[in-house]
Amino acid sequence: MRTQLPADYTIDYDRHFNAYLEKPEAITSIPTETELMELAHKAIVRDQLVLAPVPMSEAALTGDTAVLKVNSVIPRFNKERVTATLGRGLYSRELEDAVIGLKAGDRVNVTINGEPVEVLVLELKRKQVPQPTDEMVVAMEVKSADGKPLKTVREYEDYIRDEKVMTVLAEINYYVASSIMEELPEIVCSEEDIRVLGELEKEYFIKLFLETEKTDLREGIPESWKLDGIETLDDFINARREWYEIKIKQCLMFLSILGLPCEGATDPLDHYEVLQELQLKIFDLIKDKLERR
Amino acid sequence: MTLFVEEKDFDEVTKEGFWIADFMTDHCGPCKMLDMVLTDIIFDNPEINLAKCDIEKSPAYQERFGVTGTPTLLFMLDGEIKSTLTGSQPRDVLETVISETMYG
Repeated sequence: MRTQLPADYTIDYDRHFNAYLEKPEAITSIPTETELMELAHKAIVRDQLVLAPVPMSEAALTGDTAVLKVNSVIPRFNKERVTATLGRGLYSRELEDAVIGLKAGDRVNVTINGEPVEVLVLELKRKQVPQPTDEMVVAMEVKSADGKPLKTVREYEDYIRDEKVMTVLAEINYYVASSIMEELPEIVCSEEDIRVLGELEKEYFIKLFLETEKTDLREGIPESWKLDGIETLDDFINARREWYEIKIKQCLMFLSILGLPCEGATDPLDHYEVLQELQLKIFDLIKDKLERR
Repeated sequence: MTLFVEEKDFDEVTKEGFWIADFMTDHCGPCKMLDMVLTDIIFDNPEINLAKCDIEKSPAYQERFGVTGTPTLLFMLDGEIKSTLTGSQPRDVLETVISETMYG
């Protein structure tokens, strides 16, 4: 590759990584196996949840859905019919907590922001959570990274495990890499590097669409790509010039962090997947840093 | 309830109740991140409805709602758009918007 980082420039990855961890919204750990399995099962049954009526003799529990009549001078709490999940706090933590333990037809008075609120419980419903099944997984029509439809709960668990961990690592990498990119000195990318990356991506897209969509992009591009005067594959590639510049800088940044040379198998002009491979190595670095904490 | 919704069915599906319309694509990383957070919220609050809107499978969404990036969320009450968020968001931010939109 012709474009290079200045010879005397070094990247202090730990400084950027630690600064990210200090942010209030930072993700500071990899999800545990229990959390991942819980998430997988929730995603499988998400479309199958049923709210069944709670018998009149039973009291409301945390997590039940209550239909309420509320009366107050506060507009938010003056409604003929309002639905709230109890104990989650989306409507009002005080009011929801006051309803837990009541039955349909019961009344309770609470004070919110100094104003009295009268509450009548109209209906109670309880979430029925089915066991995840292979049939539910098939109905979701989810495909694995290599394009195969998922057929079993086990396959979906594996998919969520990979996906969630990769997504978490990608999220962290995005913030840390963006912070490093902002500090990079001015780098003028070689026109030849940009041209070669365009050619590589063009070959990649043609092959991908022939394999997965059975269409030849050289004969026409998808309608969703036809924005801002883009009509052909060459137009599409030319419009991605800015992305190729970013890609060149990202490759140089990752190589510098990993201490790898920009040549042969790690030269982004060698093959299209180099950036992705370098990114996976950075993901391993992030995972290692989080596990050491 | 969670449904995959095409643009032609959007109005009919979202005309009643509280809906979150999630404009996404299959291969967008932040969309997947957001979907996991939404899964948790929907599971805990089954009265919230989620319309998954794939803007590649239904490109008309982009023009109709001016969706320029994914993920984009519309928060809708009885068919009316009350609020919009773009990008992956943490659970507390989403819950604040949901609370304001659902209950005013």
